[in-house]
Amino acid sequence: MGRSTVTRFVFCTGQYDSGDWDSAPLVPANLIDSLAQYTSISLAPSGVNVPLASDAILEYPLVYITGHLPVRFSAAERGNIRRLVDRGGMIFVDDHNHDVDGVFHKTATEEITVALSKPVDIPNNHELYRAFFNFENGPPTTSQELNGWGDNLVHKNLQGVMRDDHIALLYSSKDYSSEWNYHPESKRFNAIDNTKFGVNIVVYALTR
Amino acid sequence: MTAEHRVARTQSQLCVVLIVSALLWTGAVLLAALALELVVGAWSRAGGIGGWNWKIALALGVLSGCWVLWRGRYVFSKRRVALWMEERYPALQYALVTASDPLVTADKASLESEIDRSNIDTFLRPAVLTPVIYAGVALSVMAGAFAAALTLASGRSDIIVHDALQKIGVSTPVPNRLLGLSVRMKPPGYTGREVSTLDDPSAVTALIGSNVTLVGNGKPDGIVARLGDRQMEVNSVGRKWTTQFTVPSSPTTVSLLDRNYDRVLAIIPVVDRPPTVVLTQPTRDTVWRHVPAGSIDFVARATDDVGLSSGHIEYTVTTGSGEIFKSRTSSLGDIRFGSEASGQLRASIALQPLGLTEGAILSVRAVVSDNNTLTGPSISTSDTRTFRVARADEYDSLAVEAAPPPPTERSLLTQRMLIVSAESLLKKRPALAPHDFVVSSGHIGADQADLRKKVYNILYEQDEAGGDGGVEGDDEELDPQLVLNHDLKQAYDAMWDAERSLNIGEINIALPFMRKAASALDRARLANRLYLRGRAPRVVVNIEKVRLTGKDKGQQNTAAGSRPRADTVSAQLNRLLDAALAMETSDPAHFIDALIRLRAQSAATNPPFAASLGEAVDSLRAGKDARSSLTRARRALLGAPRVGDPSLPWNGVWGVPQ
Repeated sequence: MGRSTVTRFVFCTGQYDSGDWDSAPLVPANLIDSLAQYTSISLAPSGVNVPLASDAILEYPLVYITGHLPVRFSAAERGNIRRLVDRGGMIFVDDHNHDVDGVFHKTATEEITVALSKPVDIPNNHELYRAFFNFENGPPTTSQELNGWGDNLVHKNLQGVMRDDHIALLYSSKDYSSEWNYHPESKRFNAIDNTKFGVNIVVYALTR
Repeated sequence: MTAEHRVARTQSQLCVVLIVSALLWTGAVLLAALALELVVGAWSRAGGIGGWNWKIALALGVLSGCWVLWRGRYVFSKRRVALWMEERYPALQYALVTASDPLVTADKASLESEIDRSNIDTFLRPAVLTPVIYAGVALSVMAGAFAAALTLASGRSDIIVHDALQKIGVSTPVPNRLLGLSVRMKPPGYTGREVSTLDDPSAVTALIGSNVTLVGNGKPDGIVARLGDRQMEVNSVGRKWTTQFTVPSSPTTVSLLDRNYDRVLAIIPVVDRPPTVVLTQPTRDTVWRHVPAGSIDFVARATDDVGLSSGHIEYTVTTGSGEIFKSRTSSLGDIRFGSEASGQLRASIALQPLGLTEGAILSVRAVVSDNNTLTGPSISTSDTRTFRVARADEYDSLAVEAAPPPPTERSLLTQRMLIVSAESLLKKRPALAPHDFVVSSGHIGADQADLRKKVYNILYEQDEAGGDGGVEGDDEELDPQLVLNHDLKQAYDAMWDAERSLNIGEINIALPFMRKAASALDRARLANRLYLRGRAPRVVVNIEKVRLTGKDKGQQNTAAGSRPRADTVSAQLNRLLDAALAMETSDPAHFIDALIRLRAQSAATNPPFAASLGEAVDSLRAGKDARSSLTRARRALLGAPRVGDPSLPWNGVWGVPQ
């Protein structure tokens, strides 16, 4: 009945009390599938959705947050984000709008600044881009960046909030949530697996 | 002037003298008692005996005044006053007493003339004034003693004696100039707070940015003062030394060095906390079925520890769908608080001009800032209220019409009904036979069991239509420890406990568990309230299949990866506390300084621990027992000792902390 001493990585999606946190419901399964394919990390076969305001969020080493709509964290959500980061956890926030003038980007960066600090550009030679696969040019582009959606920009850098020498919060305006939001069974039809960078994010969160 | 008038006049003078003397003696004894208290207090800090209250000194003074009045009560008798005058001037040979006696009708004229001829007034004046002079001298002496005691208590006596001896050419070693420190704290200007002073503290707790001035006795030559690692300038002001610094943003210490004497002061910065703002109206989020008209009133309450500056209501209108959303943000209801510690914001938003359409979202929150011009201003926001206009197609789905009520909601209501039933059965207990009571309780227990099974189905995402009460046997596959929804799991466990007690008629024991279950269900319901798109689809990846390592299909498993808690700060502080306590025997001279340093070190990470250490330092400096404070400090690090529940027969094996 007790907890197992050997724990498996559980992909956690953070639920916040405003906006549409569940806008990319297939991303967790897709990344779990990629992690299973490429790594030997012990994995839970499905992700979990955990309220950011709940203390249970502190049990997860990586929390994924996305959405299109305004993000307004409650005091409890903001406090748990700080606690999670202070305890060594990592948060991956992705703008599902891919629009730096969009409401998600504006409100999410504002909330991140209040909760932690202002996100800064992460250099494209950062350890994150070598954590598993090598991405010599930094973060991979997404089809949303190339096809004119959102702000019609190819963002050269990801951003992040640093704690000491590691990334505590990774912020992406590249809309990986759209890029990876498909059923893992469909991955076999892709010429190139576009979720490999997701593997880097998870491996970085677990090994840094 | 007749003899009778003479006696009356003298009586009046004596009355005044008596009252003045009593007051002067009251003051003298009061000052003497206070001086004694100061001396004993100064001595007791080393010897362990405390002084007494100033009220006792006042009582002693009043008692002595009363005693003087009692002794002089004879001034109210004219005969006694006349005799007192005769005693002072015997040459009158009772002429005054006789002449002033109204019963004597003999020849008073000769007596009066004899009295007039005498120079009695000249003789009497010094006698009348003597008690006042004595009392005045006593008061002056006691005032001097009080001043001397004050000097002694302030720790300056050694310095004064040293200076005095040096003036007359006697050379003595300079005493410890770090004793009897005075600390003057000037808060940052924006707070509008007044300057305060501390006498001989072990720690200085002040707002970040406060200007702190340390003042000590003696000249500054040779005194070294450091704030953390930074050396501070020590200056001379009159016959004292002084140094000043600004309170930094993190806890630190001030180290003072005077030849072989040293002293440490903990500097505990107080952060000007950001204001708090709560949107009190409206109280919840809303979904409008149609595009609304009219207006909404918003009320928010703001508070701050120092003073509020301004505030407004901010609203964002978001429209769009799919991947394309547009938003615009605006504000209204600007208000200036004028440094008040609390205030209210009010605003009304007209909905028509916002141009809301189907699917639009109106997000509203209150924003306030404080008047911290030093490190701020700090800006705080309230929780956001979200108002959404439903899309027409959200309500034309058969799925919506056919959907049953949310199972958690139903469970919540039913749990409350069960609580009401149990409470009403408990009230009827005196009128029921024991057997009937137990049977009725058992019926509630059966209902409780049904509910528990429904919660079980929700917990493990089982199809309620297909799975009835028999679903619970599969514990190997559905490890209750691995469930995600901890609130539902808590409700489930509480229902189990309640059910067992209900089945044997112990409603009193069952009710707390039932209420706990209702409360947990309530939390579970609130935790799931927000989802605009309904539940996210669950996709289970078949790990073995992907890795080509097995044939089993993927099973849903929601195990949370638990990691050891990164609570090393407490462990580190505990080690430092052990090291500091060990100095009590190994290096007693620096034992208290070690505790002060540890207090400063822990002020930011563990305030309760730091506060307990502060109490321990104060106790040790006063020569008192610090064990209780140190015990509290230890508990702030390690938690209180665990005590098993004595009402439970078995609590040893399963009493392992979570």
